[in-house]
Amino acid sequence: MNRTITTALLLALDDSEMSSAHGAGIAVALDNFAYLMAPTSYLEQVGTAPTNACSGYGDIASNRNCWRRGDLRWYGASITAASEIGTHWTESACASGDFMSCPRGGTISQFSPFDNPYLMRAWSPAGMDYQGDPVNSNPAAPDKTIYEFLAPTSQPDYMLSFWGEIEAGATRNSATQTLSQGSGTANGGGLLQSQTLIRGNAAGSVFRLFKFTETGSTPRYGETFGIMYTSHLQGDFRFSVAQTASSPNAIGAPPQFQNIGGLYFRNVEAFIPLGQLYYQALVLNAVGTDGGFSVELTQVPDDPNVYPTYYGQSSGDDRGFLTALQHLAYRNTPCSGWGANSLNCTNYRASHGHVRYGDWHPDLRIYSSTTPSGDPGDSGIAAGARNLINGYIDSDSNPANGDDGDGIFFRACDGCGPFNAYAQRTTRIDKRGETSSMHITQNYNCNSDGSGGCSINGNGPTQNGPGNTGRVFPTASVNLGDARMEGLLINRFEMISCQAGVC
Amino acid sequence: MRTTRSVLIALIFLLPCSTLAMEPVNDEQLSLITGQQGVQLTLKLRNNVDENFNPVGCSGALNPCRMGLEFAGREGIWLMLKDYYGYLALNDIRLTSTTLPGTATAFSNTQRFLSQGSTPTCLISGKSVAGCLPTGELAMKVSYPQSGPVGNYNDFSLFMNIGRTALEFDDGATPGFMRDVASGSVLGFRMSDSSALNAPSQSKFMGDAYVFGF
Repeated sequence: MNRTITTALLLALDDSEMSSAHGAGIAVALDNFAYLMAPTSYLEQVGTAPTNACSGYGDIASNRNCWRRGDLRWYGASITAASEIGTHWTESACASGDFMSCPRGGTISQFSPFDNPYLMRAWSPAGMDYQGDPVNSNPAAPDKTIYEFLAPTSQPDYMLSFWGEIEAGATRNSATQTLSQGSGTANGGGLLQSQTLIRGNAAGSVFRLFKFTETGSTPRYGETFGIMYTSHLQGDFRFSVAQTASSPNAIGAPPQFQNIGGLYFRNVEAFIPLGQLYYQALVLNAVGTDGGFSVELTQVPDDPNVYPTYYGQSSGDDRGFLTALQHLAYRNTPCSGWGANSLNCTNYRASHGHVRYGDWHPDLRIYSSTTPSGDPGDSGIAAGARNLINGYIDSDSNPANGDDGDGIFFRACDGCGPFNAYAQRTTRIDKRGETSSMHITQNYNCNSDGSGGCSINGNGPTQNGPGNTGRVFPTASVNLGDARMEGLLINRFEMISCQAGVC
Repeated sequence: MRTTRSVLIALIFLLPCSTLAMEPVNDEQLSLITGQQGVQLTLKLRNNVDENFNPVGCSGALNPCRMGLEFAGREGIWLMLKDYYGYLALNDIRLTSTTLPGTATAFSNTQRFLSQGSTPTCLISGKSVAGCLPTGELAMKVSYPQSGPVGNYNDFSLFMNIGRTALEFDDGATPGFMRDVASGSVLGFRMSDSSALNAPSQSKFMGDAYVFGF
């Protein structure tokens, strides 16, 4: 914590000390913190034999158009300092000097600062129910209470990491057999080990529990247990599979991955709201009568009272497009600065998510006839000013091919040769065929009189034979660029879990 | 600082009916306790496993190793965790009292401890709205002083097996949690370690936690 902390005795609180506690919540601060699961310890999702299971191995009919059991294991989950010095999964020292090499660092100072800690509290915020009616409109006599768990609004970056196994074709009974028995590799399947490194933080995330508010005689969901989660992740991501030459590459054995290489996402910010207080939540539903179930994010109520809150459109906008443009243009302006649209702004930002890969964004200029410089509160969203979008100004250059500092890119492992990144498409088509065109040293002209004929004589190619028709581009790093999703609105989704072949 | 070490081992699984009930300690008994500088605890919990973490009677249809969850608004529908057994241990966790720092960090947020409503007040006694931070407040410090070096994971052990997850429905007078109609596996989870069959997963915590109310 880098602050002076004095110790005190464990003594009972006196009446005055007790009276100073309001009971509003419990705070948890974490300092010099790290959590490390042993690299051999895992969480496993156990598979089962599928219907239409494969019975043969190799390129034969009994190994086509069929399925194999799949098992997933996540090993060594850890939260440690984001550092270029640490340890590998094998516990050996890691000091590569690369920002995303070491899966585990040291402790995190002020991981959850004492003056911006994790909070747990139960209270009765105002809101709106599934029918569009107000909830807790009288703070002195609230009728709904929620429980919420809040992440710090600001915290340092840290490293969240784990390594994993995808196993296909296993036959073991996980409850009675070890991982070395009935393995997929011994039964015509396979094993792929990977690691996932996430360097950043989850400041601003919110988890809430409450009773869902749909009433009525035949409700679709009813007043059931509801969960709401607003995820806010920011940082860098790496997924890789290349191991070092000395890595065991065996089931259950911690591998050592190459210091660099794999798929990277840099400068990511993902804000995804799953549910809205009181009127949209994750709930449990039965699927059929054979034991299957679903976790559903309930559909948005078909109620005109809910729409203004859920869609958060600015005044005068009835389609949402201009509101979205406005929020993109003024994404860094607090809603308090949006004047008459400040409440709409708050509603929009509570329900609309975004996922941004890389730090590029278009700088939209929305002009109105009255305020060309554009204050969010009174700029170009009025009905008469809808066509006054002035264009795009890039705030940051989109990363170039080979750039490994921003955006989405693939990178070869340390010491590895280049990989074939993408097709290099043919740019010329010549009706004479490959023996007369597409030369690397191509230098010919068609008849200059416009007759349409071409000749290999004179100024034609200096040698015959096919030209550069290669379809691949060997490189050690290829950048796909930056990407953004804005105004992400989830009206409903459902995850269904069933026995194999039942649903 | 000399710390009186008190180790409490709690075996909470399958307690016999003759076990004494937990009762409050009165003021006189409290005054005899000399561990005011801290308490150190070890907690161990076994659920449907023996001392070697082998499941006890947890195979076959309708075996007793199961836990059911029934949610409001879903009466008669049970989310069943079947073939459910495991082990949990917290080793040498220490609780002491402390005072929070007197100066703010670079991450401080004075909005965190305000009451809700149109005219918020600071929920930390004696602090203004503008300076609403828990500086200098009392807190409980939680740590693992016995936590070992790199490669040592002995603070927290967890073994868990959920062989099958499925819904079961009430049938007349038979509640869903007493049925095993969905005999197939919908989802199975397992928390373990690759060193041996049924070996608990091992974890370590580093640093300190500060817990306080407001």
